[in-house]
Amino acid sequence: MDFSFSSGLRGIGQVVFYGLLSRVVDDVEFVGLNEMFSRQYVDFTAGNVLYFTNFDSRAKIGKSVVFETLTEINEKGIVEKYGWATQTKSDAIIKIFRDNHEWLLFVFLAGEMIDLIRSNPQYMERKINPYTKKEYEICRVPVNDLGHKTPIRVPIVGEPDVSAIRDVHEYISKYKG
Amino acid sequence: MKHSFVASNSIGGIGEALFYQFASKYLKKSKIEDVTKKKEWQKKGIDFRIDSIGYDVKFDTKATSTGNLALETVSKAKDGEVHKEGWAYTTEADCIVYATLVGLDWAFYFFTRNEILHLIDKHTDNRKSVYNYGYNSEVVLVPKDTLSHKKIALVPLIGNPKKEHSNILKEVHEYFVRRQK
Repeated sequence: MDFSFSSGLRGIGQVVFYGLLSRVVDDVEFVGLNEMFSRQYVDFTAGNVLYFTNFDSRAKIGKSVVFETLTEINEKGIVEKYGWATQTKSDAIIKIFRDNHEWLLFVFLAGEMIDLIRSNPQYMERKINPYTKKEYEICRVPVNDLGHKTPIRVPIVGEPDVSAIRDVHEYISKYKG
Repeated sequence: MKHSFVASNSIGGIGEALFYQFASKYLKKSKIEDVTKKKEWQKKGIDFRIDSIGYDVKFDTKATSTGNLALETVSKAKDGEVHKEGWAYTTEADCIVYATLVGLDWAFYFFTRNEILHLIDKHTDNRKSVYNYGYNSEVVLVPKDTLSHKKIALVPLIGNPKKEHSNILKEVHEYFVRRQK
């Protein structure tokens, strides 16, 4: 491994996913700090598949999963920066949470995430970022609405079962061709 | 696997959950008591009692990028007046566990209270004020490379630690048990 990950909490999600994906795929590369890939919200390339990770440290599992649709809206209501959920060029988005003693990973295909956002305008929220003082927009999807999805559970200390990650990767890789 | 300890949902809860898992896996003969939600122990800054040894767990996600460990000397200050001292002075734990991310591993540093005070004294010129929701807190930054004499237990984010690293936790705990006697 000749690369380093993002600092802070984002880095935790990236390392967790790298630790799992590198067990099932040989050619995983972290590109999240590369300017071009970072603008496209791509963290990893693995063969022909692109992945983006989003770590939600404070998420209350059992309530909601958040997708950021707009990052900065100025005081005139003009969008200055679009969010990762609408801009990512990744094939799959990995939402990572901590659920007590486990990491919990939800895998969304890019199209699936966009469908989820578009079909649920009632879940859109605007908030003020305390640091930039600017508004941002998120789509907060209740976990109950994701009952059809099975999250991947990984112990925070100990050997993981990576079969689900292998299935996900092989599926996307095959479907992309 | 069921756990009696439910880690809080905060960022600090990540460190607590990690240390609890690490200790329960590799200090199997020890009695591990979670006191994170008990006020009497919270006041003393103690998160876990393992064979009656008090452990205070600190979690830092920025030590990799900054290259420093941050020892909190002032927790809350406003307009130059200190409202609450930092954990470095208030903790009554026997062992302060400082967990941070290094590459693909969690790095666990272990300190005695005196060691923390000594480090603050040694690096006292390296103070930094941090703004935090209406208050200021202050930390003393200790460069990681000045701690090369210390044994660090590395635990991979995914997978089990090497035996030599799980042994460090055992050695540290045995040291504190001997010290208490």
